[in-house]
Amino acid sequence: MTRARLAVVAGAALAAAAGCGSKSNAPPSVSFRLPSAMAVFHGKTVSNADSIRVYLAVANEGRDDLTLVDATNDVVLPSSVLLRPLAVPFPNRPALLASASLGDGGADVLVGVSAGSSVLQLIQTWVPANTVDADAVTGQAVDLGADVLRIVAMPPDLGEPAKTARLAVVLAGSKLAIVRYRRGGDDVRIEKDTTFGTNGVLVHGLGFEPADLAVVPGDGAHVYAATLDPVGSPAVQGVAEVDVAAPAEPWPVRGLDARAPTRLVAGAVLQERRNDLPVPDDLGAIEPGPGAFTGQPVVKRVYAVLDEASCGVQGRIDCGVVTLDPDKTPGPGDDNIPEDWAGWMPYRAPIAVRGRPLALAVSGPPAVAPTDWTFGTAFMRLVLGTTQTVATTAVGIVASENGTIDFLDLGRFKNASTTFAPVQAFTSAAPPKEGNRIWIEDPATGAGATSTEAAASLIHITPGYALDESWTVSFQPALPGLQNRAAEMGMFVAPDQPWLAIQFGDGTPGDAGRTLSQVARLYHPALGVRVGDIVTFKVDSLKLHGVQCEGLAPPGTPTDLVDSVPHEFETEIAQLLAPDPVLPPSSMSARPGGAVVLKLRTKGPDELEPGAAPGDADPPEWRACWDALLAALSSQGSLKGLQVTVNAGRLLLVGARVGYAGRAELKTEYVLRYKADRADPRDNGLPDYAYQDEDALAALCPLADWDGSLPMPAALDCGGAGCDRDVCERLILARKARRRYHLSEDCHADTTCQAKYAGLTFPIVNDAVLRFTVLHEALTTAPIQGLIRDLTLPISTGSGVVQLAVSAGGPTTQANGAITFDRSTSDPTSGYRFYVSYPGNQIADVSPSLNPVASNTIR
Amino acid sequence: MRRLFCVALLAGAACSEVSRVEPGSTDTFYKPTGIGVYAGKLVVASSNADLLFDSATGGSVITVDPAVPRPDPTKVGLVGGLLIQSFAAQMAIADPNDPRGAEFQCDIPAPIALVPVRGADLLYRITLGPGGVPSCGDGCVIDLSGHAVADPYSVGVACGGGIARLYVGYLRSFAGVATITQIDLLKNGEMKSNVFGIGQMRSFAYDSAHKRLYAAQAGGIHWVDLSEDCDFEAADTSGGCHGGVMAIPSGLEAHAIALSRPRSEVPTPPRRLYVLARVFDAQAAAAVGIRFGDVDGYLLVMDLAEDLAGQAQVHLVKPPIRVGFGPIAMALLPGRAGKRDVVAALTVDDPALLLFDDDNDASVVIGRDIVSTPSHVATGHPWLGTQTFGLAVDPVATGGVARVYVGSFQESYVTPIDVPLDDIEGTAVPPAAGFARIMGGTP
Repeated sequence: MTRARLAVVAGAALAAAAGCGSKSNAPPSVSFRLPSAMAVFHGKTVSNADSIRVYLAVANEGRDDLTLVDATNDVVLPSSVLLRPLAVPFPNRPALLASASLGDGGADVLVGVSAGSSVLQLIQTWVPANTVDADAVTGQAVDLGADVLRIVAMPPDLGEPAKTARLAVVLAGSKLAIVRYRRGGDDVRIEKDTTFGTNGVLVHGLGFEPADLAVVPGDGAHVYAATLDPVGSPAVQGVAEVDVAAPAEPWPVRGLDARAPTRLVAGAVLQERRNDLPVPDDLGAIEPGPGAFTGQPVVKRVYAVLDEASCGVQGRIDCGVVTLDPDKTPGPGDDNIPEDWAGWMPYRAPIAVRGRPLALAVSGPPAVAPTDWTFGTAFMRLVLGTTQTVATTAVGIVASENGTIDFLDLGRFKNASTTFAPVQAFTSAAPPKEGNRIWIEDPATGAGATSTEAAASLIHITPGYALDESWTVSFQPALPGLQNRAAEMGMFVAPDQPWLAIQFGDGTPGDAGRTLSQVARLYHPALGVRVGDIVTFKVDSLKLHGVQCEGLAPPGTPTDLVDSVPHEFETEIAQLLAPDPVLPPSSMSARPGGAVVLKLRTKGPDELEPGAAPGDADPPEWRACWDALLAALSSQGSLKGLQVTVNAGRLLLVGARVGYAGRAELKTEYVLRYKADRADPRDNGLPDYAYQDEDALAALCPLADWDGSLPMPAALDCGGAGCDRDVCERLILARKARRRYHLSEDCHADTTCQAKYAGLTFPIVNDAVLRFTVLHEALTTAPIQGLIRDLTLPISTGSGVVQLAVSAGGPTTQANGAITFDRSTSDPTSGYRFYVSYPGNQIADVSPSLNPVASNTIR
Repeated sequence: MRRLFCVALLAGAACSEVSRVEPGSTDTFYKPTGIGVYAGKLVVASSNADLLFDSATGGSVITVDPAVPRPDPTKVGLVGGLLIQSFAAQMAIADPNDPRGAEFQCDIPAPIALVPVRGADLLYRITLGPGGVPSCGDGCVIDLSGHAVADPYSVGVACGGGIARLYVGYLRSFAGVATITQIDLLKNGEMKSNVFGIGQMRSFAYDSAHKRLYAAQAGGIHWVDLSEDCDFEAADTSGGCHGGVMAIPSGLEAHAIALSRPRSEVPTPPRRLYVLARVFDAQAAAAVGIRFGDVDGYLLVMDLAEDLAGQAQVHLVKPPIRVGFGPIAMALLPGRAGKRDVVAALTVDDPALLLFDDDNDASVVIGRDIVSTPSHVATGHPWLGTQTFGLAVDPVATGGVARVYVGSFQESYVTPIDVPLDDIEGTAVPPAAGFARIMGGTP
């Protein structure tokens, strides 16, 4: 060995020795492997064998072990070789973890479950080795007889013996178990409480399938389950409250009506903010400090993420995080959602979320207040940005599919917004560049707005209702979802009327019992199809069926492309038809989505060019196609595979998120508002229904709640009359004009803001989502032309809500769990924390109690 | 340049060293990739993926009868075998008497096994004779080249209701488009192709009642309605087939799909689409423009529905079920009256089989040998092989017990697993019960 090589070897040995002997502060890399579950527990570990401390246990499903992290500082516990993290072996893909305190200051009970297992394995938190007891026969593991799907720790209950802890466990097969543990005779170890149920377990059937499970702090008698199933009697959609304190099977189940099924659930006990308007010396609802909660009762609340398949702008409730009041006994037709604080809607709107939530967690105030926090432990600090801080009573997080973690100010039942001033909602309008345009009218002059800024100021919105939305006001655009669709036609006889249905399938159009696909529910008011709308046919698809005609190029086609683009011809909807009744033995009607009766269309006067001949309104090419179409229907009986688009008859307002948003008219103010007017409608010449909220309208138009399933339930067609289409339209639009955000702000001293919203008293500002007037005008250098199809005015609106959020670094796709942890007892400054786990081998530790928002990624 | 030349020389030498001229085996599996079950017999396509045997004749399709034991525990009764080109891919079986019912029965004279072959760009249409004896007669080899695509891999069958069609997807194509080739068995093998977005078309499912084809690829789940005798490759306005695409949640990429069996209850519950998806870092993919690496694998349970405009859509009805790294194949076990399906999902990177009962959410995972018992020392080896490729289910359950087969590419065996349909937890899982491993057959 050369001297040089000897030196290298000696150096390496020295370095190794130094590594072995030193207490390096550099923590080992955590190297999670498919973290699947988390739980915070108090116990002993090899790192602190003599004292009970608090740790975060993380189940590594991909490595069959648990990683332990010091929950006071997020430092992973090292193994004896220091270079690797401590791994507690847990065989067969640990998938679930849960912990619970026995209330005596000793080690907590910590259980884990392998994927697809029915056994609750007990992790020995009271001994430093943290051995996993998987023996359900002679050990302290518990075999529940069916796969464990979810676990939640029950709050202590007054009736429970001291030094015990209970876990609520969802089992495969729609069952729920309560498992009780107790401190052992040596006052150290933990064991199954064999005095409880059968060997420490009670298992009862539920009759529904829980999707998630939660408890409300302080309520040891109830478990709350999110579910897609109807629950309770009478059955409602929402959250199931299971009374696990009841002595006999089955445990009573009460449905908390959330107006839609739910997927995720959490619970809290808190004060909610006041609703009072500001008065001198009392800011009331808009007080950022504890004053907003003065005099408010402490209430139980259950928060649930609504199932996106059922909620939404066309559903009985929009999507988001709904607040439920378990102590509310709803009357007939009512639900368990607290009332709308502003008295406008029949229920409090859910808290809007930006992505599809995958995990939900709620924290109350920390046990120990930060040293610089003057409002005690009844309130918690919520930092909304570098300069804004509020006091609140509970904070929630939603980890979404888009990788972000959004914070919710649950004391104010709203999004935590970094601006703290959503009254800064905004509008804009992009000026179209065509020679002619649809443009915002200035009511003061009757002419078009003179600039984009002026146009934006003439588009009225209301904070709290204003959406982050891209709107279009277009002339005769395709109705959403009804562009280039396959349709079939036939003829009614006596009187002869050509009908058209948008549907696709083998067999003869008009025959019942066919298996159909792509059925447009034309009769559903949410699609917005009206008499007077246009059905445009692609002539090429007619020719395939022997309908020989040429049609015309689409309106607005450049001259040099007229011969090359697919030609069309246009018809007009003369009548809207309900789905045919189902006549047994057939199980499906001929036109299960409804149909329209067509007539040849004549252009309106403002579609014609100035100086056009009278005959131009009725192009001979269209008539030729119409005649050929009728002839084909007469000879063939029916046609199918026709390519059609349903266009609005005139102006149409569409939102990228809300879809169909009603019909505007030139030089007439268009208002999209929850209720037509706050005044007595009769004073304004409006019908009575204009004054009604969505539930009252829904009672008059059950058709609007047709979920699209085929055949349409006969009870929904309102006796064949299809309800009052005007009422249905009003209901559809009211649902799109709901409150989106819960204001707790005003204009402060901002005079521009005050001028912009003159007449409104914040925070209760029940007014329009969107209000504007448009006109058709020529740009200064261009002559006025006929209105051209798809001439469009784009409008953008912003809610002013800038969601307080963090995004952990690294792969934040598909968050798979969120828990809360109060670190204040060891570090008052750190306050309350949220842990969010991701399959991309990392865990985010975040807290909005710090400025800036704390976000630490453990990986 | 000199260095490049040397590399080329070395490569050439290496190739000439490993190339063999011997044909593959007709009784022993070698690098199996596709498996199927016909009349209780196991049909296995071997790929010869490392070219141990001759490229043109190194692959094979072998039928064995697992019910006939042989003294060698790795062998069962041999029914027949034939040689095919190397680089076989998935396998599908089309059966005029499919025991699953009319919805699956093809109007063809005899059962066939379909095996795409990568490289040579072929589709083998192998007739299964009495007892499943494979044979390759006239029209057996279908040339798939010439569609600006290469490496046919996935294959699906659409039968019932007067339709008998095959669908083939590809791993490579011009400009990376996802192409499907349709072969109409009732129109003398008429072949038509169409493009459905970007990426590889990986899996097919067919709804016979609605004549709707579902196809999974990176961009989502495409659906095409095949009714009205539409032209698969024509434009909508020219008599083409209508369809669309259903997005799946962000960060997920579908690799296998299966359609739930129709239910007879009234009102009829919606059919479900089971989707086996790889989880990737969507934010990173959006930032760099390409998707790299997986972080997990999920089984998604989704209800199929139509929106008010009549467009197909899916709704997640259960939280994603974790399956592990490298989801690759999925199959449904035989149906049970009045109950939802049992799903078998296979992963390759972390080799495991997940059995999931959609009726009661019970699940079983057969993964690695990691639990030691007094009579067994854990080895850490995957129970089903180190590279699990190929998954098939016998469509007939015997005495309420279904038979699932899982292929191991690396070790060249197929593992049969018996699953009690009403109690999947009762599946015999090693080490409590040892697995047989079938490596081929003897007469």
